[in-house]
Amino acid sequence: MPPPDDARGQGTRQTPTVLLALAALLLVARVVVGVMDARHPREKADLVAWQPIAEAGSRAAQTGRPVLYEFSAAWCGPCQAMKREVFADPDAAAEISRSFVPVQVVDRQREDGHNPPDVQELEERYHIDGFPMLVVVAPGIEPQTLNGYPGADETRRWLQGAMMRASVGGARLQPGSPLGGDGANGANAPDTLRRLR
Amino acid sequence: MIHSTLIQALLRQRAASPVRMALLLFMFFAPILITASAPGLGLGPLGNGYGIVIVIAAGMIGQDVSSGVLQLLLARPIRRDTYVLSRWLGAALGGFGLIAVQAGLCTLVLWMRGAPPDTRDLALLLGDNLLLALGLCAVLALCSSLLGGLGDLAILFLATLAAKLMEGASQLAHSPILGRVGTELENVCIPQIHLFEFMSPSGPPWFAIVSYVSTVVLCLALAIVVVNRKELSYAAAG
Amino acid sequence: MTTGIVVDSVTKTYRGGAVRALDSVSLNIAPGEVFGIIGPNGAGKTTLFGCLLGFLRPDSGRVTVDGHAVDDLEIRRVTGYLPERLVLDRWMRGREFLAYHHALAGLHSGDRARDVEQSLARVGLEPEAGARPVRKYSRGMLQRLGLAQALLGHPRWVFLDEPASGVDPAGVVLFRRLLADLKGRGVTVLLNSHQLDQVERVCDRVAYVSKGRVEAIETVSAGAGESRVLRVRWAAGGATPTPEALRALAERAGATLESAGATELRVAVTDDAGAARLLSALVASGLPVTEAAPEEGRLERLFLEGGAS
Repeated sequence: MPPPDDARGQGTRQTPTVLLALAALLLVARVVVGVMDARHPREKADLVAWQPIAEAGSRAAQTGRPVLYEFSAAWCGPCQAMKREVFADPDAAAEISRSFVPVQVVDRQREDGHNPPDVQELEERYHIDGFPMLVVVAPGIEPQTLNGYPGADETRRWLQGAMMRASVGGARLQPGSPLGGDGANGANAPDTLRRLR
Repeated sequence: MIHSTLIQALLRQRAASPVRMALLLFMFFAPILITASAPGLGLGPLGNGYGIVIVIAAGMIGQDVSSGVLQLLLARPIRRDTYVLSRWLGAALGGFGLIAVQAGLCTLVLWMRGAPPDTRDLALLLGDNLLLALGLCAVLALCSSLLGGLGDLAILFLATLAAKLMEGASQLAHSPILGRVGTELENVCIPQIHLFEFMSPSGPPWFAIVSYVSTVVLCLALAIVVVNRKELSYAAAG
Repeated sequence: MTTGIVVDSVTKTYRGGAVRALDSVSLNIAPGEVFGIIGPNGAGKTTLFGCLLGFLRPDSGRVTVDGHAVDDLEIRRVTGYLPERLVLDRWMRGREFLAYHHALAGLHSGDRARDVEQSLARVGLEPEAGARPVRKYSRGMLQRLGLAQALLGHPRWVFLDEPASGVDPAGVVLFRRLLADLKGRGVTVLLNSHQLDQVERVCDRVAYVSKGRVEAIETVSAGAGESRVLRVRWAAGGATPTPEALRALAERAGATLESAGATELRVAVTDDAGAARLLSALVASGLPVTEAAPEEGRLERLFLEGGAS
């Protein structure tokens, strides 16, 4: 049909043979890797760049970011759900790592009978009585807390709100006024707490 | 395979469109202003440069076909694959360039406010956006080779919508297959890799990598095939 | 040795064969020839140009330029093209547009500034116009810029689709001079135009295309375009001179008898003075001349006869 014509020169319509072959190869690889991934699911890894408890203060001072404490425990189901759905989500993890100084505080009371001193100190300071619990701490503003795990979307919204309040709140809120974060202690928070106990 | 004159022409062509420039102006400065007023957010307001890339890339081939300038261009000793690849790279570099300048300005603002961003965060942000720009532009190159004018936006919008609907329907119908198809379609519509995942303890995200590269290569190859087959004519009616 | 442009039974249909734009068209255009294509609207002229430039794929048949495929990069490097519907990148200034095409043509960048200025001057565009955005160009200026673009880098094959449309009379004269210049340099030119007198003046041969077919190919030998045929009628009833007598009479007046009938004759004259000489000779011989008028050009006749058939 379309005559390929003379082979002497190079035409303007070159079939992208190399690209097409590469594309076919990559599509096969895509299916193979996809199937392998499905057979041996990658553990949904926690992607947040958690910082050591001891360095939280200095990093916060250095970057000017609020600290995000995540209080959790190995035995707590909703904590694992939060990890899978929020901390293992690349977008959310990137956002958290970029916006906060994220610090994970893992309770060992049930396993070891006692907590490491730094964990115990933080749990007492922020009155932790259930897991998971997120606390955002920024200078000039009361700590904001999220009790329990209200689902991925809700959690991300709360984190974004907490970040906004932390960055503008310190400047705008009058001392002693009710602080942001109250709204996020949603109606279902007590239920979550009860469930956890 | 790449022609610098064509890349320059693409960038100048885009810059000459008032609507594009108005949109870009807004998308470019809004995050910088937010950062300036709330430095505690760090680089957060930058998010990803999806919007900027779309505004620069939309119609990268279709508009040339519809307006008729492609005829004059392809009467020159320019191979059609060179044209497609140059348009793709031009749009991607244009989009990424803007995002990089934006990130640079944000960094400067944060620096002056005494809260410089983490170098690693900045590098990841730039890397993610470079990959997003290259990937998204490849998809738009294919869409744009299929439909004239800004038809590529319609294709991309409908495909993304279909992907979301499938994902939603799979939850209702408890059909993991449907969900998977939706996810794959979404991966094709927005090809990107989060460099973040490379630091995961379970090793590089091989599926995400293969998925991204295969989408980019396939889209470019198909765009070239479509443009090769295209007949340029205003005489189609007689 | 180059073989020129060879169109070998090219057929092109649209809409799955419903519209037959070109029907087994064959043409041989010699190197250095200025070849015109005329015909009514919708005859398939622009489709033919599309096939000649490789924008359209013929359904069957093939086109070669100098033995190469039409879209061969070697051919593209020495091809100039002015499309009928000239769409320029609106954001460019005239000078930028030429520089852009200079770069696309793969011409040496060191010569760019000089070549661009020369091109502007060659088509009669002021240097000031080169600094103006092309969206502010008038139709005639656009056409001049388009022609300047087509002639960048001294192409050996030039395809001009309605080059003089929208151009003022001075521009028409300029274009004709440029065409003569191309011809002098041995450039092969394909010209599609509605302005028959122009075509007749500059082309060596002209193909009349109608309904997708080449109906006729006329040799018009450029330059001879100045000579024309005079049709003379006289009243019947008197003594009709013999054709031999008329031929001798015409020759004495410096004209050539083409045909003679009972009450009319057709004579080729070289110019107005020749026509006057012939007429006074005819009247002096006692022929009761009632009417003398220049005949329509040969190409116009093609149109009329083609339309009637």
